[in-house]
Amino acid sequence: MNKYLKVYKILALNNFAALVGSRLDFWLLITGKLIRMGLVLLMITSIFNFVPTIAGYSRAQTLLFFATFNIVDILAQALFFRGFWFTQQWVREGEFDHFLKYPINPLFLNAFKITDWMDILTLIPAAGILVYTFSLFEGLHWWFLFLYSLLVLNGVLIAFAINVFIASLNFYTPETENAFLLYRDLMYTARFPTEIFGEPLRLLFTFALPIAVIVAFPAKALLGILDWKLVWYAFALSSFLVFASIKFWNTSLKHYSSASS
Amino acid sequence: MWLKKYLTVYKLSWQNVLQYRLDFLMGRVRNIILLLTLYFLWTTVFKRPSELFGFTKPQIITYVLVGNFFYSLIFAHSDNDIADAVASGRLSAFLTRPINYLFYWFVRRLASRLMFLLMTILETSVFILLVKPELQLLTQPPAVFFCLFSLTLAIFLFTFLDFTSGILSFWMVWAYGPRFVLRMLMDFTSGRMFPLNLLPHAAFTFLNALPFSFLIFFPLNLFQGRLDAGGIIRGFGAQIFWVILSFLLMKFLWQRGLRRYEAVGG
Repeated sequence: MNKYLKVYKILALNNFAALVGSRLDFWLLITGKLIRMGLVLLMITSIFNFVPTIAGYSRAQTLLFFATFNIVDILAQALFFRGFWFTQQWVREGEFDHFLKYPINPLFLNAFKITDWMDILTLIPAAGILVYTFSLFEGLHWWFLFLYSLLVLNGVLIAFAINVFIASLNFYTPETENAFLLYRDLMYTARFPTEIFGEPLRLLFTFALPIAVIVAFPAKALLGILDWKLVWYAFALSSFLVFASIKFWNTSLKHYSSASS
Repeated sequence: MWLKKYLTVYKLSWQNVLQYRLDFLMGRVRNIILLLTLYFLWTTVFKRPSELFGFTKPQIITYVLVGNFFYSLIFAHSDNDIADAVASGRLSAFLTRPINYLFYWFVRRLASRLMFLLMTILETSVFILLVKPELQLLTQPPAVFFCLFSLTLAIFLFTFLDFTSGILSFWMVWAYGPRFVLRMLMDFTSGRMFPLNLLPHAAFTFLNALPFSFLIFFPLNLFQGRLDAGGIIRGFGAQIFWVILSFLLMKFLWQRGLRRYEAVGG
């Protein structure tokens, strides 16, 4: 465990050094992320200048969905999304060979090779939006806050499993860019309450493509409107998906043939 | 002869789009997901009120669907090829041959634009057949002409802005930062996600003055006949201004960039 923490620390610090090497790029990329976050927030708040609810949710409740999406998405991107994104390049160019020769789990190396420090910094305004959203609710019970935190972490685990599945596809096909972008676009749908989609799609996003579990479940738990059966379902789903994704990764790794490094 | 070489580029780019079919299909699914998200969002918002921020429900649904068409036509897939060519030195091959790099790059984008437009027409047709949304379509021929002219200008505007952001790789390796900022501004302030008149007056005025609103919002306003004669003239004046300015900026930066360009190896 200590070995992995040490390796993670070295990788993260190396990434930071590489990123701030071009300070202009670094700050512009953060600016771009803030522009995106800010404009979607502006869009949502502007809609509420005209209507009192969206799919039965008030302004505060809708903002909670958006704020929760930001936190989960940023955590996933900061911790492991970039590493999985570059898997296709590493496999294609043969750099993945180096992952296999070290006495360390290649999945760990692949996932955590790149820590996105820019996303870590955008966590600050995202957390600010979340705290502001919390302040719009009166008397939030500590239990709901605790359950919310657990389900947010649970959501990040599900996102991890999905990314592992997609990254594993790189051992079968050289082009997986759109698969990752598809995951991102599905995540973006969770910026709004999933009730806007109507029943068939809402069930799809809950049970087949668990985007609702990742974002909507924590928000609904905080609001005290999430059925207990669905809470257990969320935890069971994440356990199953993490287990299945690692199994799939290990099986897919056997298909890897080096492109020479 | 001149046309033949670019026709070859076009054909190869067309084939390249379909090279990885699964990846291509996933790209189309992404487009459908965004279309569904916007459709269901606005349908939900317009559930009770008959009119909001100057739009009725049929108008906003038409806005979303037609906006999707315009997006496919105007927003070509922007990859790292200019930055890659500059960083790797492969640009030298284009500079030493009788080929105009901008036109070559435009023709490559044209192939992907037309492919995506065809797919968008197919997807939207299926969507309309299945969902049967209430639409408000264009009926006046002058509006068609204005809209087509504006779309042509929008394609040039996007091309010049996109190429300019790629040229910045002469000064910054890969130029990720400026390209990302530009892409975010284009995606969120062009009017694709929402009509800009949804926003508070100050935000609307500011964003409407930027070039990005002339990529989708202005052509859509023309399509839906939402502008009077004065608005049309002012709009075209501003759009042509931004096209010329972006072209001049692109040309200036390209010439300056070539002076500092150096290729190592290759």
